[in-house]
Amino acid sequence: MKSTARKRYYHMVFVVLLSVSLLCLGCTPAEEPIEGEQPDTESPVEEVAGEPIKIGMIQPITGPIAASGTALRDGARIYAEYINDQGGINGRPIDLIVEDSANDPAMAASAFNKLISRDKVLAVIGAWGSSPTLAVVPLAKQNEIPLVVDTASNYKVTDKNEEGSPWIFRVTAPTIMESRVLSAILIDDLGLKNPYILSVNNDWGRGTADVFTAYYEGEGYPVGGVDYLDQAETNYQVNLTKILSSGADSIILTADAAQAALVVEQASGLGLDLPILAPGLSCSMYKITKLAGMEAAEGFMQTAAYIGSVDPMMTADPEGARYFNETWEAKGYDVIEIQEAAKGWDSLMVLCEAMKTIDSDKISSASIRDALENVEAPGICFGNIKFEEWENFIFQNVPPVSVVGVIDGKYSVILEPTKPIPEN
Amino acid sequence: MNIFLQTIINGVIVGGTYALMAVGLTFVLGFMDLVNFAHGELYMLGAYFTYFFVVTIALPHIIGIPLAILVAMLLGLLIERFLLRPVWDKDILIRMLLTVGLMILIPNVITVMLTAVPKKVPPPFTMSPFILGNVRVAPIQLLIVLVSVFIIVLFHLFMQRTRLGKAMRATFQDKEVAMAMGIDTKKIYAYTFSIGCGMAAAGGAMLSMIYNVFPAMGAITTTKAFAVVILGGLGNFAGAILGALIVGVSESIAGTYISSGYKDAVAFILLVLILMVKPSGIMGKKGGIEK
Repeated sequence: MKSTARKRYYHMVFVVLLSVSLLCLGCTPAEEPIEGEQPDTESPVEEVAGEPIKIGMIQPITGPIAASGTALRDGARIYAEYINDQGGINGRPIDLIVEDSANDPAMAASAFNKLISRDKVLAVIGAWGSSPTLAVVPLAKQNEIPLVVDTASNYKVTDKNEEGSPWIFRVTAPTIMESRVLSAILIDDLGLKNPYILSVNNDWGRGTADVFTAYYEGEGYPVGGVDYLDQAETNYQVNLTKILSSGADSIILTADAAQAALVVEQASGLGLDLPILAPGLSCSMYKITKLAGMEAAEGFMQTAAYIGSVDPMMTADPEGARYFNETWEAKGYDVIEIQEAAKGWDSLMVLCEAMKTIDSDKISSASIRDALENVEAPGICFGNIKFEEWENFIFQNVPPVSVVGVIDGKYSVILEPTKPIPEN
Repeated sequence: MNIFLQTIINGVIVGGTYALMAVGLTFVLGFMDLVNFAHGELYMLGAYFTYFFVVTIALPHIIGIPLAILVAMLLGLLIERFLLRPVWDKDILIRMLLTVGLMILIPNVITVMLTAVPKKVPPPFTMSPFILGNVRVAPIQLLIVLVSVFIIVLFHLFMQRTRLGKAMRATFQDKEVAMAMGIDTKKIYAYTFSIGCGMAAAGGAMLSMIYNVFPAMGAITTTKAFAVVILGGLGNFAGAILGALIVGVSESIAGTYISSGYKDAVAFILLVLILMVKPSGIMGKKGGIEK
């Protein structure tokens, strides 16, 4: 009797376990792969004969920013497969080793140490946010490992008076470059005369808030107010109330797209229909509309580096952009992450283009650094990539910045890719 | 004045969402002496299950949400049977470490299975905000607070009025006597944990309509829920609600009048001050937990 009861019990347990796993699988839309990554057995690394070139990558794969970091990783992997299919770098395949930072400075630093001491990578791409990147930059300099900075826009990263160094190569634009491009249209064309600056409370957000506040003050238009959000915050009633009472005519919002979507949705829920501009080249309008809904996202604008998803012909490498769009779709990845993913492609691409100029048996951290200094490579995202001096920045790419947004329920290009011009 | 009123309302709305998380946590913590670090993960799973029922297979919210809670409760039964039951008699630290393990494991499994791309459960309706003078409230946020209050009241009545609720309270007051009275204490442990999981999932299900659904959402909320529970007094429902409102309103006031960057700091300083005066929490009984 007891054993029948037990059998029935285990039966039930089995059924419940099965249902739960099916439920979890069911949450994935049919077109998405169950896993974000490709099976190792299909890795093209083995197809190319030479000794693999190990490249490290630090991204937030867990935590609140995980979706962005995962997309960058997947974008870089698409490029790794692409280059390895073509025979790698002079016969040597690329082996991309990815470590998680959770967008945390301490984790990013230990990931970097692991990559260089255990995996013996020759160069590193990373580390998404400005705070984790600024934690990694001194280590890269100290250990003489070239670091390609993919997303961090805080000025300190490549400023010659701060952390700028011949070992640090930034492909993305620091905030000041974005503001130079935006300054031509911000007040007159976009009509953002009295914006409220709402930023995530970290190096990126505070840096961006400072740049835009200074710009508006310089133009004689004081901002409506400045306020900060915690990276893990989900309820913005307090911030939105302050914006409402400030009488601001618009919002300049610096936040990860998932967080920005909540701000957009909650603002719409409170009937606060102000235009929102998100700088940072990271705040995908696709993600905003998917999470907040098209109606709430009306009037949302973002600065974008990757415009190839709207029109590949507007990029420096239309063929690459087309291939990238098709591969991204074919792999079943979500289009809402494509802007982030393209940064991963370009970051690894520029490293590979630099390495192609080195004899395959002479590839080392030092030779990669020297090659990066002279490389010029058309990217799908960051324009024709080369590292140069720009105002106070050194080893800094000057990518074109565009503005895209949701106008009348449609994805629109508001400003075509425009190169920032230095003041001096 | 108007902004002050709006600030208080904002605080109450945010506090309402904290309360929903805190009630389930205080229940398991107070009654079972289990520091359940995986509570937030059940909250996250509740949101994912809701996404499955409401978005993937397109059931109406009114059916999908209870189903999501039910699945989380079944999962709770499994966790209790296979992971917690073997260690109920062991040191409290072992149980705690076990839940820490679950806290790490569950979101990572979800990340691998479903990716970290955030998802969203659309609310059942969209409405213009209620506007009274300069005070504005989003209807969906108000609805969520009202439903949270309803769930908490229902839960309270269940514990006070039903045979099972009484058996639970008896078991956690004195296990031996409860056993002598014929109560199957093993079952009571399983049901209690399962109900705690259901409460967490209810929080996730409700909030999935206003917040994003992603693997790390549980970890983010757990810290605040713990603070609320300790502030209110372990195992005390009314205390958890009061604690949630205090944290919500003080955050709102600090965010509005000082800076949003400091609102957590102000709320947690307040928490420390209250605990200095009353270490058992606002409504906690001195020297023990009311069961």
